[in-house]
Amino acid sequence: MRYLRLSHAVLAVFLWCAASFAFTGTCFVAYDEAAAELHRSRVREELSELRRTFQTELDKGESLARLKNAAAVLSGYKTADSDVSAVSVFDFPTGKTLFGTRSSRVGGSVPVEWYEKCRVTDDIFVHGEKDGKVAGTPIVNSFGEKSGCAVVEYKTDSYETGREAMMAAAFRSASSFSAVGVLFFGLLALLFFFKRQPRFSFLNRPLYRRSAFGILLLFVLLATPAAVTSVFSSFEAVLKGAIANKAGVVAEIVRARVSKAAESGLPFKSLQSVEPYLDGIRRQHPEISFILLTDKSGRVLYESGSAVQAFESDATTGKVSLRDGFYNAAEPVVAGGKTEGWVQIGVRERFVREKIF
Amino acid sequence: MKRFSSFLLSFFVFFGAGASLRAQEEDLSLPLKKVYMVFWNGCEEACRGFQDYLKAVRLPVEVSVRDAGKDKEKLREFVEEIRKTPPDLLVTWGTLTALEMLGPERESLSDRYVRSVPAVFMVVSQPVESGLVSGLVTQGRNMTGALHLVPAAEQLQLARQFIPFKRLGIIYNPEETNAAVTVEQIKSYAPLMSFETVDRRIPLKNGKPDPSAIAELVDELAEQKVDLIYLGTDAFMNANRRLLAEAAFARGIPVFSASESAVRSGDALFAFVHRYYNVGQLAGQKAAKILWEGLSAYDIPIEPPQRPLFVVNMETAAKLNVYPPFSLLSGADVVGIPERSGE
Repeated sequence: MRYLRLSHAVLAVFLWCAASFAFTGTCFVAYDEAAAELHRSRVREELSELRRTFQTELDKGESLARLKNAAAVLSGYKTADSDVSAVSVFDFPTGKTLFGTRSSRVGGSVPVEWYEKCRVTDDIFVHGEKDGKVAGTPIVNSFGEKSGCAVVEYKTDSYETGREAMMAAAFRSASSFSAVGVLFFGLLALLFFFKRQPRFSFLNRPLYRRSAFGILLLFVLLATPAAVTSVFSSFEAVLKGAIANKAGVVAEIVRARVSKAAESGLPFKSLQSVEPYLDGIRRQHPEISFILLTDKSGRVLYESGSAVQAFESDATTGKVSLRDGFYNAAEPVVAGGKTEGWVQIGVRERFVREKIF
Repeated sequence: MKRFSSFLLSFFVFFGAGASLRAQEEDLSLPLKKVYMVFWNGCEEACRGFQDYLKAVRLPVEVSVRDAGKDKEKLREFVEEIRKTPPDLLVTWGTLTALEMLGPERESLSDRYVRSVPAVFMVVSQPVESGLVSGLVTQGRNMTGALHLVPAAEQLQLARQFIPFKRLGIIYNPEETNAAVTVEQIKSYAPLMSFETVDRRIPLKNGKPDPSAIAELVDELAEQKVDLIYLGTDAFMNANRRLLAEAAFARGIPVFSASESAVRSGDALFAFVHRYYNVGQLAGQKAAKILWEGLSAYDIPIEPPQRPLFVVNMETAAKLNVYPPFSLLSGADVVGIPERSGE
């Protein structure tokens, strides 16, 4: 302390600022990766479900070109995801669109790039377009030959807008961090400057000097976690939209499957081995903290993951509500035109924060 | 205006014709092949699947369909017709048709059968056991085939996802070779898959299998505490499957069938099957390989489609209070869905 120079303070400020930008940059990368993964996995889930649906129809001995309710199936996917601009299926031998949500496409040939990418992949392909992206997956018949290809065209605006908002938040946060550092080291420098002045000679007393240093340190120690929390919160605010979209899509897929089982005559209250299926979904989407199937009154019938921590009840009214930091998507299970129960999907909005630490 | 519309018309005709011409050119770039199809009783789903496949892949083919109308004599006439004007490929439907047209392997050099034309057979339940070929993967005859039965081992494995049985009961007619072969196959898988088989033969009465013995045999299986009864492909048991189902369901034992029709009629709870349309499509794929890719028929494996379909009767499930697991149901063909009662 005795040998502190201005150059030391400048160096300390520089290091502090560098650390601030490095920290917010790391956080940005983690959140950006999470946002991209939420987007990617959502499209992957939609395509996998589309492929499964069409392949089941092929296994039933239907010809892809003659499927009856295909257009209705596709429009369901478009409605469930606001980023999806069109869903279609094209015939593999001819390369012509068999059905799709964009009627102008039906009967026409698909772009060569789509066809080629679908030809070479066994899983999922992604192709960049002028105003978004296209993801597709081959539909394979019961003897392993490609019969067609399911294609989802989606806008990337929401992801790009979110990314820009996160970049802005990252810059703001790094600047605020740096400002805290500048303030701390500036005040420290002032302290050493004034203690040399005869008017402030009392600052040379160890008690005053230490107290002043202690107050400044305390300020930094309190400000740093607050600033870190504010960085996370600003990123999480941006991520909320992507989380809601993803949870909605997964809830819709689970709803469709459970509703189909109930429609088929499986009693909703005694679904055999539904929990391993729900566990499988949670394993594929680690941000989902719980999936519940409840009856109409909200009583939990099947559970994957723990939902206890996501809800709190009001001591006076007994009303149950979602805790701060959780997002919940709910879709009704309908069979025979009647609501049998609900699919509840809970996502921890702070899952990236937990991953960083 | 008139001149303008005639210009538009000629424009569209020109380009439209060009487009269709291009499509035709693609088809005509390959040589036209003649396929001769023989059916035992009319062109059904497998026949439709075969033709749809060749149509979908746009291969130039001229298909002649011959229907025996369940008359063996007609099959002889078809052999003569092929001898006079040989096609590029012969396609047969069913075991009997294949044996009558192509002959068993031990008589493969006989002039009685078609010898010079490559062949694809479909819907033959046991081509090796019936003597048509010596093996499914490697064999020396100029033929290949698309099978419709899910292999017994696969059926058993899939069935265990639904009912994790420890004891499997089988009642069969020993007079039918196919049935006896299937039972032996299942018995050989039992120790590998950790289950026991309890099999009972239908006794003969006046030299014929006695259907009245079925209920008694089911009782014996129930005493042996079987968890599941397997209904194979033998004609006798399938003709009397209602008796089997009534006796088994009365004792709360589910029946698992090798064919779909028993599930549809409610005489079995579930089956794992390949639809005939898909079998026909697979035969179409094999035909395309022989005709346009130049592969020899004996180099193409004889096989069923890869993905079996789970067929379950929900009315029977409700009756037995044995419901399929959620994982199987999502890719299933569900039949006999009970009407929903109003709440």
